[in-house]
Amino acid sequence: MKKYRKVLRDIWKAPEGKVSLFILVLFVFLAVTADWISPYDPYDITQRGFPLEAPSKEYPLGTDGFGVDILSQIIHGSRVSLTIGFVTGIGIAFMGGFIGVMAGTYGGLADLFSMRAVDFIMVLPGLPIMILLMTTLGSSFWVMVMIFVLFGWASVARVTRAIVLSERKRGYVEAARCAGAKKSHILLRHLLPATYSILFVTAAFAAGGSILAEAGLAFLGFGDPRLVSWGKMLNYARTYNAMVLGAWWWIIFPGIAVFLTSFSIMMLGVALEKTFNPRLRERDR
Amino acid sequence: MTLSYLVKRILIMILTVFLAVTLSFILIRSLPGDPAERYYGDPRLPEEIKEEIKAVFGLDKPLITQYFIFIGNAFRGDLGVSYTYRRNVVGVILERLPWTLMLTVVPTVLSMFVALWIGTFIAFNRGKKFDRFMRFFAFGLNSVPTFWLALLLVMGTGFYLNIFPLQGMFDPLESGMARVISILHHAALPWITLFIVGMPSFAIQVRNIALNILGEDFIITAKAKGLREQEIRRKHVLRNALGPLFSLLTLRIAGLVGGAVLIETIFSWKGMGLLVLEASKNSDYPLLQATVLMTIVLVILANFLADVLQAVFDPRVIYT
Repeated sequence: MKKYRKVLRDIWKAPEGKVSLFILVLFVFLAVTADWISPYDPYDITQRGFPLEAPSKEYPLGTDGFGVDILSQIIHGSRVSLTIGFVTGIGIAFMGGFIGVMAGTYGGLADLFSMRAVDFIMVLPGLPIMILLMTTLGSSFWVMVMIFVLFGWASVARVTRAIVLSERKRGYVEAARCAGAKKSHILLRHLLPATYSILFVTAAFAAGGSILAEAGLAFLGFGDPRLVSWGKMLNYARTYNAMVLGAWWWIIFPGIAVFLTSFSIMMLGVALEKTFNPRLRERDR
Repeated sequence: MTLSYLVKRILIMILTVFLAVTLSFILIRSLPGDPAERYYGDPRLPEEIKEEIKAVFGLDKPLITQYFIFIGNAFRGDLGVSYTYRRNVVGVILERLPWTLMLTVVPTVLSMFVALWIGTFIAFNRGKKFDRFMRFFAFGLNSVPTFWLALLLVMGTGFYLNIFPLQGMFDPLESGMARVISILHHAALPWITLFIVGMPSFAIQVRNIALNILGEDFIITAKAKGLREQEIRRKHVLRNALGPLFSLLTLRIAGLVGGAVLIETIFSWKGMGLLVLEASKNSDYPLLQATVLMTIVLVILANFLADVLQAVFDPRVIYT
């Protein structure tokens, strides 16, 4: 427990860490309390104002083409983005970590097959294949999560495998083996913990990336039809000609929300990287 | 560059394409519904005509036979008939391909030259203000949704300032030289967008390559000989950076072709990306499948080219 508190303190000390934690906590707060703090309920069709109202006291960020308050949509949309970031980040770290550690520890055919799969997935052009999959499997929240994890695990697996391979040659692992430790013991007590730091960092980057990818897919019309999300707001803004109608607030604010969440999570990744790997600080100074 | 290396790479490439074709066949065939029905249109057609249509497309044979026919056709460049265009999908795609390449290649090559210049400059001035700024800027851009940036640029320069057209590829009323100018005018904003998004991270990659080279012994020798910084930059750093640089370039173009969907949507640019979207909206599965497969093949080819070029430019690359 003490170790984790130290990591948290180190993150807080780095300037990136402070900014990113502040923004993240703000958005998490918005997502959790959305039902109480958002001025209107974007899912309730009786709570509509006039369409395309510019930002005012009543509608701080204006209304969209249907008269729905933009601020309320952004508050409720944070749920979709944060959940997708959180779930895919964890999913990618688990799947990539598991396959990478297995390939690195056991080697042989498992290693060969998983690394060929990694090579295959990493050359694939993501977006067109995601569209193909979402067209055939249907667009829902969980299909999207599944696709992101399916595309994201490969690079994580490659990195963890490399770490396990180098760690295996270290003296303490050799010593454990000489002392008669079982392979499973070495795996669980020595090799797996060595990969934790990189898994946290990659999970953060994967989460930031998947928030952007969700926004892009929702913008193209592949978002979950039942949920309000930032990408979908931008999709509607484009479909209903927000630009030509002069409704700049309908375009600008959802994009800022996407940027801020993704940016803060990625910065958190950088801060984590620096606390786990102090050598990096020297190299990049 | 040894022959066995080349042969091995080509074999892996063919295997990858084969795997992609197989997976897409399984995916499309696991969809509910009879694929032949899509071509009849009308269910009241007489049975014999239905049978004939099935026979023409080979849909009366067992699935495993169909699979081998599909593979054979795919490697001969026949990927089926589009439901919406009613003709060979490869023809439809080849009409769109040049537009996508035009959209992506120009800003990528341009950003390569600028990135080469900026990247080596900040590598020599590592840790200084400009280096830090560029790195932070490139990192921040990673989190900016490209399509949103494009929307903002269209809104600012197209709608409010009226410098660029809002969308489309050319003015259909113009012809001859005027049409070429019109195309360039319409392409300018997507090019600018892709340049802004791509250049900074490219420059950082060049910087990192250059930093690795700067750590090598021959640079120390060059400095000891008393060469000026500019000469070291031109003669030693740039020349050694060419190999990795070419592989970056091809990979970037491949990535952009894949990611073109968003940019093409915003600018209504009728390339491969918009074709993917169109096919998806119309449930035109053969077209969708073929476009995605062609994109995959393009990316795999680019990868292959990158590896070979790297080996050509840098004889130290180990062939494995």
